Amino acid sequence: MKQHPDLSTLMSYSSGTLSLAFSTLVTSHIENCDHCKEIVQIGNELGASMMENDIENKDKTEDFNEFLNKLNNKNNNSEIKEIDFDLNSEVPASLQRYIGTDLDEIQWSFFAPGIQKSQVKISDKSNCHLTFLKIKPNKKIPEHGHKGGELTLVLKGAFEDANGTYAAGDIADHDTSTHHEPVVSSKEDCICVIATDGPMVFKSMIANMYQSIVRI
Amino acid sequence: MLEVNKDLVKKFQAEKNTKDFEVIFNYFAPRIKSLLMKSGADGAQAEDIMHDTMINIWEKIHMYNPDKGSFSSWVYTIARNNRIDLLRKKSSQPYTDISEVEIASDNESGLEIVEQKSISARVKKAIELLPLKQRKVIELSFVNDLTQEEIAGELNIPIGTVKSRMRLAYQKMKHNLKELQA
Repeated sequence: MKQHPDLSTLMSYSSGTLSLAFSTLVTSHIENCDHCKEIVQIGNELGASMMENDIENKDKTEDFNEFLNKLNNKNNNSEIKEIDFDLNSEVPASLQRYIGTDLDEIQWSFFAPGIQKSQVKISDKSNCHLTFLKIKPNKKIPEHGHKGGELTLVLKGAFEDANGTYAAGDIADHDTSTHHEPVVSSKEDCICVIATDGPMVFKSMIANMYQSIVRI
Repeated sequence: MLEVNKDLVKKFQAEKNTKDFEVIFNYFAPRIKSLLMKSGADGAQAEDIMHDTMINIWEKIHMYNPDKGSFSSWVYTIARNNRIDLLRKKSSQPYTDISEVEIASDNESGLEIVEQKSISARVKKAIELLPLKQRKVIELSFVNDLTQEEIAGELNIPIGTVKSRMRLAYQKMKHNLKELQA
């Protein structure tokens, strides 16, 4: 894996301050990325240290007997649910709960010539969603910038832009400072998943009008 | 207060008895609750998340692998994920953390820098050595649960500056941890 989330994105992942969509994609990337796992683990140690060294509360106590009652009630009423992942799937484990284990099972709809789209709601209590795109070889996404952050995780195939080439497992981490014109560089279709916290802003007025209707 | 050390965690993993768990509870419960209240939870929410976290520790202790990080960092990630699920995401879908996926895959992390030996003391020292501006950004993120955009608003600085301070803080932390290990 050659393309990773920005260091600041990984630190925010450790602190738990990324949106559900962003953190889902970061988890999907680091499943198979030791480089990012190490960064996140250092972030987790940092968070643990902040929690442990809270001087004001060192001498406070909590009621252990009350907790034991709660634990006993829970043990009598429920079973632990183990999460079952297919680790041989081309779908990262953390996306499997949303799209299953087979990329061919995704229900695509027309987005633009050569581009198909599928949106998956990942929270039933907010408007949080992931956008999957299936793009034909050599197809370009028109030049655009971003009004917020955008993470793109490649699931199959590859694309490239001025910042480099992104293959399966790689993540492109863009913010308002990025303008790019990604083009699919693989011989097969490129399937990627996008999380945004602001709309794309296209250089072309027509593309912008279209984006305001179909919105990624 | 009795100390939560590597031996106690190992004993609790092997025997899972209430006496050892009480030591773990007495050490972590007030710290988890305090962190949650600083990140915006009210008293009742903080108590619920703390209880859920302690129940998770009891139920999942067999999943803790000391080769992948300190016990404290494992407890922290459980508390953080419970906070995400309850306070921020308001979602019935539980948050899938990398630790759950890692347990399923049983990958070795290969982390050299986070071996158990005195990690807690070294991390504390490494944080103290951060320049004030970088440390502030880290505190607002890890303690006060603010997003990068919220930190930018709080400190009245561009979001690009928040990102760059976070990057620098990480690089400095990593450097400090290596220096302190030597």
